[in-house]
Amino acid sequence: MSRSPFDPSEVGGGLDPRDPAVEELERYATIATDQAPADLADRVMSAVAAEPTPRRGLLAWLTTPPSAGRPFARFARVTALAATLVLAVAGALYAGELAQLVRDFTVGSSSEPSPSVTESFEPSPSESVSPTPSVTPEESESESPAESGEPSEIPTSTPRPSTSQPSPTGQPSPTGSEEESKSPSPSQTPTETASPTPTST
Amino acid sequence: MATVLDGDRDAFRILVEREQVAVYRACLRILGRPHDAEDVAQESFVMAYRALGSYRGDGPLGGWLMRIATRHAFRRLGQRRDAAELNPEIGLSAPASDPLTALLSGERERAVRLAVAGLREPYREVVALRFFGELSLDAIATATGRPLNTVKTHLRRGLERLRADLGREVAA
Repeated sequence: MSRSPFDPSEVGGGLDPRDPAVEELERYATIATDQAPADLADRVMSAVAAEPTPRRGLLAWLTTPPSAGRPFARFARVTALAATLVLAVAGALYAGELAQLVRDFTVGSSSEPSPSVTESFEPSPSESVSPTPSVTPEESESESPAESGEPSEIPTSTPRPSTSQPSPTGQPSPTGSEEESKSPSPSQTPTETASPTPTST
Repeated sequence: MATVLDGDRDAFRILVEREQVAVYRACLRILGRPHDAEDVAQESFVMAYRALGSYRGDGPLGGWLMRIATRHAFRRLGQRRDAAELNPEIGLSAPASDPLTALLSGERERAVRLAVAGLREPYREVVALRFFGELSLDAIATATGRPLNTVKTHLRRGLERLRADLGREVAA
């Protein structure tokens, strides 16, 4: 196998004919000219024998230029692709028609029972939600008022106990300042609890 | 070629026998060790056989195969450089009578290999395909799918960077 030495004119000028990089590369390439091992092809083929036959992808199959022996290969490929597309579109249309027929049939027959089902579902969540907020504010009033701020229904129930409490606890003045810091979550309680403390002291 | 692309093993054997010398030499020039080059060349042919399904046929199979082999060889060289190299590089040239000459020759060859391997893509690929794979610039343009003028520019810039790197290596 004869080497084809690099010619600086290959790159279209702008390169020194005695470029040191080219000289080094050429010198190196002329040194490393060993022959391939004699059994390399046998080893490759024994490794290939264990491999499954490669399957060509659709894109590669379509873009492969036709060989000399099969000049109509490209035409056959394009025809096959067009036929596949037509079949896919026709199938989709047919499936759509079929789905429409099925929908018409099922809607006409199943329209009566559907309202009774939706009505039966509605009351159940409203019943299950209402007991929980009424229990939690009573427990959290004395310990942690900040926890009761999460649910939206709590403010309607929490102000009542909190307004009734400041009157017994409003007597000592130092606790009034603590209550201001503890109960900011309901917006009504600070106005009521803040006014007694300065007047009492 | 069509029978090779259809996975015919006998046709693939003809391709292997035709391209094995060029592929092996390219791997040897990149890796610098005959044993590694042999392994990488064999693996490259098997990788090419597996990837036959993705080959678009828009150029000679030899260029496509060479591109697979050079990439694989550079990948192997990177793995080898990561690991500790226990034995010093032995020159590829004929054994000199003077051990010092042989050692210096080996070091010089190693500097060229490392300088090419240290190039950034796409310069490294173009330089390797031209000087190690011995492909023409037209064949490189076809194999890489780049315009010929782009390949020329990449080669020129790659050689400019290589000149600087090799000058630094020699100075060191």
